[in-house]
Amino acid sequence: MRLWLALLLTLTAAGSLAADNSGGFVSLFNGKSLDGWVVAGNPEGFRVVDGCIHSDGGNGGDWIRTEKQYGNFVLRIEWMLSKTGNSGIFIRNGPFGGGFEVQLLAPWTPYRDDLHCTCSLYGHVPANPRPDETTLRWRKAEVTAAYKHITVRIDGIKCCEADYDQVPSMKGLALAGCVGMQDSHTGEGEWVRFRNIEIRDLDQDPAFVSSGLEQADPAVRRVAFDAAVRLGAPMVGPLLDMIARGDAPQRHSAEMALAWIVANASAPGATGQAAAVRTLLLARLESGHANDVADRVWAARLLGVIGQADRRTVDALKRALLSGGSESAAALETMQRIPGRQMTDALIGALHQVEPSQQPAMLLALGARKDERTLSTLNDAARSRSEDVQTAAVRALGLLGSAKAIPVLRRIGAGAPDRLRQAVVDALTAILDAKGQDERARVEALQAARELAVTDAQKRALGLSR
Amino acid sequence: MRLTRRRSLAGMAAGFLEAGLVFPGLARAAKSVSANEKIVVAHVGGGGMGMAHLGWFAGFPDVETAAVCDVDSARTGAALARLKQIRPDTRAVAETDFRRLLDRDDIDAISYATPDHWHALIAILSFQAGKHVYGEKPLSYDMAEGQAMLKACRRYGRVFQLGTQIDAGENYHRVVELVRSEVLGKIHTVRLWKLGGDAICGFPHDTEPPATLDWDMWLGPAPKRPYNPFITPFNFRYFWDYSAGVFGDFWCHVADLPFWALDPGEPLAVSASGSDPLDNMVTTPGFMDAEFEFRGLKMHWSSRVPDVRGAEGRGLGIQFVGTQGELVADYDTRLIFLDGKQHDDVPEVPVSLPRSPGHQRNFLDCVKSGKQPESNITHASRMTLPMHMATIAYRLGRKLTWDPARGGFVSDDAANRMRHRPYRAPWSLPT
Repeated sequence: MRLWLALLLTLTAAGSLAADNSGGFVSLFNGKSLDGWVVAGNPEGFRVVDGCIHSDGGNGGDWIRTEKQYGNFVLRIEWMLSKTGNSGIFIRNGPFGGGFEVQLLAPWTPYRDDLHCTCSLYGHVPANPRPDETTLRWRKAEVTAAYKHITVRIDGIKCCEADYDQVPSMKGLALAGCVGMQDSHTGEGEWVRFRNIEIRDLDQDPAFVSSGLEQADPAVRRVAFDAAVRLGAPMVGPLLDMIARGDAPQRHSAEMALAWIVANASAPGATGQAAAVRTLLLARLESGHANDVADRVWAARLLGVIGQADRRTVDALKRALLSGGSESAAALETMQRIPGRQMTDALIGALHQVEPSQQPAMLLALGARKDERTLSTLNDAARSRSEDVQTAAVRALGLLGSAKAIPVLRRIGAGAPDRLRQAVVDALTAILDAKGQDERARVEALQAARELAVTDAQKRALGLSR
Repeated sequence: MRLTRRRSLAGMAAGFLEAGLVFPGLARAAKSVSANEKIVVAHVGGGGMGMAHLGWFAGFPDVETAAVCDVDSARTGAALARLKQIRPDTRAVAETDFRRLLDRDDIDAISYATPDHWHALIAILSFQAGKHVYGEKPLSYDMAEGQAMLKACRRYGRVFQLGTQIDAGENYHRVVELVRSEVLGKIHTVRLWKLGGDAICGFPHDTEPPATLDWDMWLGPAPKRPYNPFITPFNFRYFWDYSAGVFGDFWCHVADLPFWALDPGEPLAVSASGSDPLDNMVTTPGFMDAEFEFRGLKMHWSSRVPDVRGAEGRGLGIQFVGTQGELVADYDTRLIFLDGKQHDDVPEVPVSLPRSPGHQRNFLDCVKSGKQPESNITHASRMTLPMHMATIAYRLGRKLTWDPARGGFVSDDAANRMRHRPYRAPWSLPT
């Protein structure tokens, strides 16, 4: 929480200091047309005059809003009111309201209190100090909305500060919506003009979004979560950090957000995004901090969703597999999942680098890949002197489903104790039933299985008994 | 085409014809228990549902209970005590590893009520060991498992009954007769729902597992993680690693009815949406909606009660919308909207389906006769497939199209990879 406040202060300070349009500000108004804007009322109620958005009193424009929605932002607007004009800046407003209005008003005729004067968060929080409200001159407003905190500055002076949790009337109100401006509504002859409208979208800033995910407040976490998913690749690093070192709720949100980012990047046609996300996941798998492993486990698992294996992915997964850490099992899961010759070769290479006690898991993963290239490796392993390795290799040959394994299985089964022979028959049965198996191979597999069948269940399955 | 009517053995026989090798005696499940013999049943999973299984089967005079197995030895004691109340003379033993049950030649059938991620392995290893299986829903944790179960059940010629107990009731039978009679016209829309909700648990700490629990065995083929007291019993449902939320819990019970009545084939497209549970350690959405496009039929799932006639007040339901009328059903009741009026029944529609002798009795009868039971594996795998498709569509956040001829998603490698979650060694899925 303290970290977030510090960040917020930095943001607003930076915002007030930067007089130019740099620092991530984007113009919302091109000075020529109302592109990107929607007029809620009479379309004639707002028009472009002298490079400004202009509203004449009595034209029924109601209000004008951005097409896009903004949750957290620094918004800058210059405005000028006619002598007794009345207008406002809307933030976090739905198409039919529900958000907030920063009041823009002439101070006279009639008099309004501080809760309804310029800079007040209309009806919620009074202006303090009340700014100079002289009309018929250009004024600058800067509205910062950062999660549950809203700050308004007029001509550089902070005049209003609001917090959703401190103000009863703000409880439960929206944390996102459209930005907009009210029409001039004090009658004919009065008007309002707006120019130099620009916004810095804080939800595009990974550090800001991370600060939201770190908050205890569920409503804030929810909007930060959605922003993180929208942001995509730039959030991969921060989210992995959170998985490594955050508390349980942070880690949970981060894991889910990252899963969505990866899911989006795995979509057909999202190849650019997929490459960016994969590179970031790989970077974490390759480096990582010695004491944190949760991030590497998650990175290894999600690489399996993205798929695609270049040399670097294959090498990183193989290293993770051989690391002996918790990421090892996740790496094996992903290596089983991603097709391709390089991955098969990497798994075979890894198999020869580990103790026999670690080989069964790799053999089963190799078999499940259903890649003919694994045949000779599995055949060799099936002759291992370790019973566990041998049994796993036999099961893997069944998973592979290749008819070429029949002679080897037949040989192993012939002299084997019942337990192993039973596994051999199961493997031969799997080969018999493998998808797309040709008829000759099926007959061969059936014959071998029948010769070796051990249990009643096997004999029955192979048509040897009722 | 009504050839695929699930009560028939057409599905079984067709499987073997496809396989190219038809063995006499395998077109129907081979008999292993004669009509007068006792059927020896062993139970895997001693939680709430497992205790129900135990009570059901022990209540039949022609059943002998051989064993009760649970990865938590604290549970088997309670299960045996319950059994003693029903069968004071029982000689059943307690086990913690189900594979010991498969080694016993005297056991005819395995009845399991475990977390979803164990269903396929227990079923397939049981088939391979020559056991018949009464297995809890959902059929499987993922798509590849369902296919492997189907294949193994056929190869080993065993009887499998999915634990969709509602299927045996009078109401589902009558609804099927009404819908098939076409008194509602042609059905073009089906809505399924079960009221959902967020699992409220916060973030309890991981701890050491209880001394009685074999946590590694509980996890089985699922990814390794530290023990957490929230996950088991029951709440495993709210984690993608073991299940699919309220959706996965109830899909088979609810979808059973339209798949039985309409046999709509495989969906051609599916999309799903919901809300992520950020405030609790669970991972499945509390509320989920899914849309399925079948040939000539749209099917919707929601975990909110839809705003349609007859749905109000039903936390769970099935709505059939036809060109002539509508029918809304839940487990035990139904409402028909026809000719501007509301009915309980349409007496002109003849009673045509044989009624069930009871879901467990039907299974036991089939073990003796070799016939496939009411909720057989062919029907179960057909109706569970869309559930797996929807969870993949949900987790990828996009609409997916399905090619029934190829058995895969169209142009989506990630979706196709998700048809199976690789097993953690030493477990592997015999595919």
